[in-house]
Amino acid sequence: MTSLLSVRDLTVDYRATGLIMPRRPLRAVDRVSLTVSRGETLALVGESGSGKSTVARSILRLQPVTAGTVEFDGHPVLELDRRTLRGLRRRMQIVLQDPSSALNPRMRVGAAVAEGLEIHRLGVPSERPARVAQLLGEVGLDPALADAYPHQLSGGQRQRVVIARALAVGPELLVLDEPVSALDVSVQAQVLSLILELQQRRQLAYLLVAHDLAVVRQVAHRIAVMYLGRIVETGPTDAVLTAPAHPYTRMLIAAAPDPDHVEGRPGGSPLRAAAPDPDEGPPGGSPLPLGVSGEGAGATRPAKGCLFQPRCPHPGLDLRCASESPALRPLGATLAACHHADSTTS
Amino acid sequence: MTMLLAVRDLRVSFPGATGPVYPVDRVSFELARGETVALVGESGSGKSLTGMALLNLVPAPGEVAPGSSVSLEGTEILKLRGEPLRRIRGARIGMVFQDPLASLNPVISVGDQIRETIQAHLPLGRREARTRAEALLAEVGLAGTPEGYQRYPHQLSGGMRQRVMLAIALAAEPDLLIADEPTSALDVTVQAQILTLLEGLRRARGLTVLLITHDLGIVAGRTDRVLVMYAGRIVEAAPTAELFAHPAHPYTAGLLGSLPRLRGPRQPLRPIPGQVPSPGDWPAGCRFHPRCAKSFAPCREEPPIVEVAGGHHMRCWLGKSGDSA
Amino acid sequence: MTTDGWLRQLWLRPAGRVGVILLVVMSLTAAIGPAFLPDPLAQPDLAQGGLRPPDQIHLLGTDYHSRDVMARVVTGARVSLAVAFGAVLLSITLGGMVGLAAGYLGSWIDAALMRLVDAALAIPRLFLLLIMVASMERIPLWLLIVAIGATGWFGTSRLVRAEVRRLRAMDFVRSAEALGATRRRILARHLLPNVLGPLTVATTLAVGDVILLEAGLSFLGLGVQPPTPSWGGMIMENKSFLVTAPWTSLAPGLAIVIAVVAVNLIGESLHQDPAPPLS
Repeated sequence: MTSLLSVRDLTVDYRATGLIMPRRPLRAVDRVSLTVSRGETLALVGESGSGKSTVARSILRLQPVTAGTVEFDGHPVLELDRRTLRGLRRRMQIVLQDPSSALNPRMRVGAAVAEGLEIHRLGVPSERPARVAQLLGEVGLDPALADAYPHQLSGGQRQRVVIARALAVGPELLVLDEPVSALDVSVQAQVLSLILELQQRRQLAYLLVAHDLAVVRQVAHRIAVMYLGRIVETGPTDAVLTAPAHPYTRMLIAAAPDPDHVEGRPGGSPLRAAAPDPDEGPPGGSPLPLGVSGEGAGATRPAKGCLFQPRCPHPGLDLRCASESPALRPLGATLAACHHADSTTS
Repeated sequence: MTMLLAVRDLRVSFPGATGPVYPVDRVSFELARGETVALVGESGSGKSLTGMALLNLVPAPGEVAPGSSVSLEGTEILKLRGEPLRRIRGARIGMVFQDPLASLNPVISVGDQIRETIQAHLPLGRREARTRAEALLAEVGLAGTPEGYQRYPHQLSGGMRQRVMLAIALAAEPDLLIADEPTSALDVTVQAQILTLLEGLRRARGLTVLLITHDLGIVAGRTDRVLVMYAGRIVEAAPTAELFAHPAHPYTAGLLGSLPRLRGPRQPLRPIPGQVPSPGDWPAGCRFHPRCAKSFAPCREEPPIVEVAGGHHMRCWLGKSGDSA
Repeated sequence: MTTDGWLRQLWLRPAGRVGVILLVVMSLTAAIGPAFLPDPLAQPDLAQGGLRPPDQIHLLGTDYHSRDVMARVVTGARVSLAVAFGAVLLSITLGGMVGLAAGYLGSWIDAALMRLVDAALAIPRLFLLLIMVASMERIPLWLLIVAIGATGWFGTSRLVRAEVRRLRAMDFVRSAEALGATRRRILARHLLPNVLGPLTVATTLAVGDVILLEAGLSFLGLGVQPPTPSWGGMIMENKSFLVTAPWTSLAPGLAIVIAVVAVNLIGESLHQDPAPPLS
C-alpha cells in the first residue's frame, strides 16, 4: 500500500526573540518522519510541548517549516506555490481542538459549511443550500441549524459543524487536532463515533493529534509517541499500548487514569498497585507508578544525548544516554528510540 | 466517623429571561471527617457552582437561594458575613482551582504568597511564618529552600504551580479541601503526580477532600465516595467501588459507557444521545429522561430517591420497580 | 448577531435609545429646520440694534449683528455635524485599512505603519491641524473635514491592528486558510466583520471628539470661516457678550453639549456589549 501522506525529517524551529540578545532557537519538531495511508488513522500522542500539534499544522503549511519534506499523493506540499497549494487544500483538511474558536462568530453555520464550496467553486451556487443540508445531516445535525450562529450551539454541535465544514470540499486526509479534548465525556463519545463512521464511509485517512491514550485506542490503527519534538516510539496501536518499549510510553500508560481499577481505598489506588517501589515519590505523597515524575512542558532540554534521560526511570540509565541521541530501532513489536529498552521489555 | 460538613437543600439562583433559574437545585450531601468524596458531572451540571456555594463564593448575579443550608460542624456558613466568614474561608476550608496561573499573583514570590496566607489566619510573626512557608513548600514536593521560596509563578511549570496552590490552600491548616478540577489543565503524567500528592497530604493531615471533576477516570481508586451530578441535581451517590461496579442510574451507566478504556478488551463506545440541557430548559420530572433509553411513563414525574444498596442512593424511578440495571 | 442585531441592542438600552433619539432629532432639525427659520445671515432689524434677548420673533434672541441666533444654531448644526461625521468616516476608513493591513500582513509592513503611527501620535493633534490650516487664507469646508479626518485615524489603526492580531491567532482564521481561502477573503469575510464591533464603538466616541475639535478650531478662528455659522465659531464671535447677552453663546454651547452627550450615550451603550462573545 502506498502512503497518501509521507513526511520525512520534518524540523521546525521557533525563533524566540530575546530581550537583549537573540536566544537560541527552540527546536519544536526534530526530524519527524511518518506516513499515513488511505483509510488509516495514525495518532500522534504526547504531552504539551511534545510538538505534536506543530507537526499537524506544518503538514498543512499553516506554519513555517525549517527543514524536511511533506509529500501528499506525490505532491511536494512544502514547495508548492500559493495557487497550487490552494488547489491541494481541497484534499487535506484540518479539524482544530477548540470548537468555540474554530468558527467565525459572525458567520452563520450554513455559510461556514458552504465556504469551502465557494472557495473551490464546487457545484452550482443554487444547489449549495441543499449540499449544506446534506453535509449537516451527514454529521448528525439538524439541517435547520444552517441559520444559527455558532454561539447558539453547544460544544458538540460546533465540533460537528467544524467537521462538516472540512468534509464539504471532499478531503482525502483529515488532520484531527485534539478533536474531542474540549468536549464533555458523553459528547466526546458521540463525536468519536462520528469520526469512525465517516472514515468507513469515505475511506478517509486521519492524522489524529491527541493526548488521551484511551481516545487514541478507540480510533487509531497506529501510534507515534512524541517527546520534546521527537518521535520516541511508533507501532501498531495494540503493540504500543500493550507492550510499550520506550520508558516514556510506559510512563504515559501508567499515569493514565483508569476507571476500571476500582479496588479503591484502602486497598490501594491503581497507581499504588502498579508502583514497584513504595518508597518513591515526593515527601508526604504516596508512591507513583513506574517512577512517573517531571514535566514535559517545562522540562529542561539536555544539550545532547537522549531528551528523555533527565526524567527516565529506567534502571539501565548510563553515560551513553547522556551523550548519544538514540535512533528509532525495532524493539519487540514497535520501533523505539532508546538505548536500553530491550533489556527490560516484558 | 464524625460529620464535618452537612449540605441541605442547597440552591443557587441566577436571574433568567423569565424568572430565576437554578443551576444548582436542592443539593444535599454530607462529608465525614477524613473521607475523600468526588463530585462528578459534565459541564453545566452545577458541580463547580456547588463547590463555590459551600463558601458563599457564587459569582454575581448568582446567589445562594434562601432555605439553603451549609453547616460546618454546626456553624451555618451561609449565614456568616465579614470577619467570621473570612475565618472559615482558608482557615477551615481551603480551595484549589483548575487554573493556578490565574489564582497566583504574578509579582509576588510564591513563598511570600504562602507566608501571607499563613499570617492572615495564624498569629505568627514574619520569621516564623516564613519558616512554615518553607516547610509547606517541601511538603508539596517543591524546594523548601530560600531559593525555592523566592521563585515567581512564571518560573514554575503548571504542575509546580498547582503544588504552590495546594500549599496556599493548606497554609492555615484547614479541615476541608475543595479541589475544583485541580488537574484538568495538566498533562497526564503531571496529573498523576498531583493526585498522588493530594492523597498523601490527605493521609498525613487527616484532611477531608471534596474533589470536583468531570473525569470519572481519576475518581476510581482515589476516592471513598462519588456523587454524580446532572442538571443541577445529585442523581446518584455511592461508595466508589460500588458505583463503578454497579452503576444504577442510567446517566451514570451512560457516562461509564461513554468513557474510552485504555485496558481490557476494546469495546465500541456507547454514547448518551442528545446533550446536557441548560438551566432554563430543564425538563419536568426526571431531568435525564429525554436522553434516557429506559425512560417510561412515570419519568415525567419527580423521581424518588431510592436506596439501591447500603449507602448507595439514586434519584430514579427504576429503583422503585425493582429494576436497577 | 448581525448589524441589525446591534442596532436592536442599542435601542433596547435606555441610554442608547436616548442617544439615538437626540441625534435623529438634531440631524432632522439641521436638515429641514433652516427652511422654516429666517436667513441666518440676514440682519432683519439692524436698525433697532443687535443683542436682543429671546422674544416671540427671535426665540433665542439675536446676536451683535442682529442675526437670529436660532437660525444660526440650526444652520450651524449642518456644518458642525457634517464636519464631525465626514471627518470620522474618513478617519475610521483610514484607520481601519491601516490597522487591517498592519495586523494581518505583519512583518515589515506592520513595523513601518506602526512606527509612522507612533510618530504621528507623538505630535499633538491640534498642533498638526494648526500647521495645516494656518498656512492658508481661507479654508474650504471639505478641506477642514479632510484635515480633521486625516489627523484622527492613528488611534483607530492601533485599535484595529490589535484586534486583528488577536483574531488572526484564532482557529477560525487558520481553518479558513486551511480551506484555501485567499487573503482577500480572510480579510473581508473573517477579519473585517469581527472588527466592526469595536470599530463602531470607537467611531461614536470619536464623533464627540471631532465636534469639540471643530468648535475649538472655529473658536480660534481657524475652522469654518465667518459669516458661515458653526457652533464653535458662534461661541467665538460672541465671547465678548457672555455676560451682557448670554443667549448668544449659550445656545451653540448647549447644542455642542447635547450632540456630544448623544453620541457618547450611543458609544457607551455599544461599548457594554459590542459583539457576541468570541469565546
